Amino acid sequence: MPIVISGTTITGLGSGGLPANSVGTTALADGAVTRDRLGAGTILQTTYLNSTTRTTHAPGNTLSEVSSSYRCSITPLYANSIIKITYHVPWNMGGGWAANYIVKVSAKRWIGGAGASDLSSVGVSNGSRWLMSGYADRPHNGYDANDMNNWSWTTYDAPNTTSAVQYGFYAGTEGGTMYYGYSGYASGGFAWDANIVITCQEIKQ
Amino acid sequence: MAVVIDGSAGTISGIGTDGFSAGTISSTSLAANSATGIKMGYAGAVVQTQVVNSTTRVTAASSNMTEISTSYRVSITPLFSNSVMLISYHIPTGWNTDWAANYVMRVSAKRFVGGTPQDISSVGVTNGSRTLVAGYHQRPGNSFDYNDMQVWAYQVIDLPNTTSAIQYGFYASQEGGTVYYGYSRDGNGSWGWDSNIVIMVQEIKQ
Repeated sequence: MPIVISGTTITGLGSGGLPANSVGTTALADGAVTRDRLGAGTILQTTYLNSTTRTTHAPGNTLSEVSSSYRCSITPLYANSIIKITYHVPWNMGGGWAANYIVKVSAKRWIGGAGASDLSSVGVSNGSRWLMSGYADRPHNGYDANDMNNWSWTTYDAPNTTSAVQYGFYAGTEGGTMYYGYSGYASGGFAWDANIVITCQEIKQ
Repeated sequence: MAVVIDGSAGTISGIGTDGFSAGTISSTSLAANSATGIKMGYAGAVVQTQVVNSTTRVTAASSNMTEISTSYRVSITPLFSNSVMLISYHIPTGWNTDWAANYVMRVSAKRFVGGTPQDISSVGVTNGSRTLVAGYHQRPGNSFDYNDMQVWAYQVIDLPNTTSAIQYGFYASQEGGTVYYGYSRDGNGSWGWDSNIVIMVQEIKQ
């Protein structure tokens, strides 16, 4: 193809024939920016869980997983990335509780077939205190089997892997039964049903 | 300005970007701020973020779920119809002492399309006659008074399936009494407070 100069227009040149620093428009087409172009502090990926699983849990005063359906999966692109995890866990005490019972929840990580492990944001060894990355709470005034308590919190982790990771949570109570995603009562003006939502965002370092 | 082709230096000068053949741009097109949301080419990318930081202060006294203020909406126009929206709420409220200790207060996220309220994707599923909620039910804490703050802070998701402009806000109600949005009823005591209502939405490419 000939090179034609007409007035101030040149045609017939490929990108490689142009001055240094010239690029083709395909380099900036819609959708052309890939993850490897992003710098530190940018969000490389976002995953989410929007669970309709409804279950009860009565673990007593130990922490255990409520349901493996309450896990959000992410596969980090870089081993040194930080993961931001946001939880929205609505639950009901279902009745049968003492007013001063304590309930606890803490974020957990699973990698491969290994068991649950603590996140980087879990507390530090401090006497015989529980190490937590979440909540401890008591019932509020006048609670009953219609009430919603809600664990909504944001935490972070540095999993140091590029293998698939899952983020979920452990919970425990002093007694009674907890209802996850719904109230114990099914009728009445204040009974409710709500999804469990967990999101994960990988932040490049 | 003359067009100069310097074969020794391997450069062409004297012409603007528009003068090159179709499909060619200059390196300035890759300058800071040029990688806008539409350019993102991978699933999971945040392609835009919108926020409302509302200084509107209102009271409400409705026992039926209703919108508190249209000022408490954040607007977004999705770039892609299959995007997922992450919506974060921070709603500080003050409760009056005309409440009974066991009154329940409720809040649930809403999507507005053309002004019409709709449930979002995080709302619950049909389950007996339970109310479907994407938010909170809450009672006062112990010894609450008119300086206390109760905060609704949570994040939910939505799949609006549109590229038209939408808004995210919330409905709320209480069993009785008055709720103060963004401030305490008491304006003088050392525990009185004022705080903005903040709603943020992030569009996530799929």
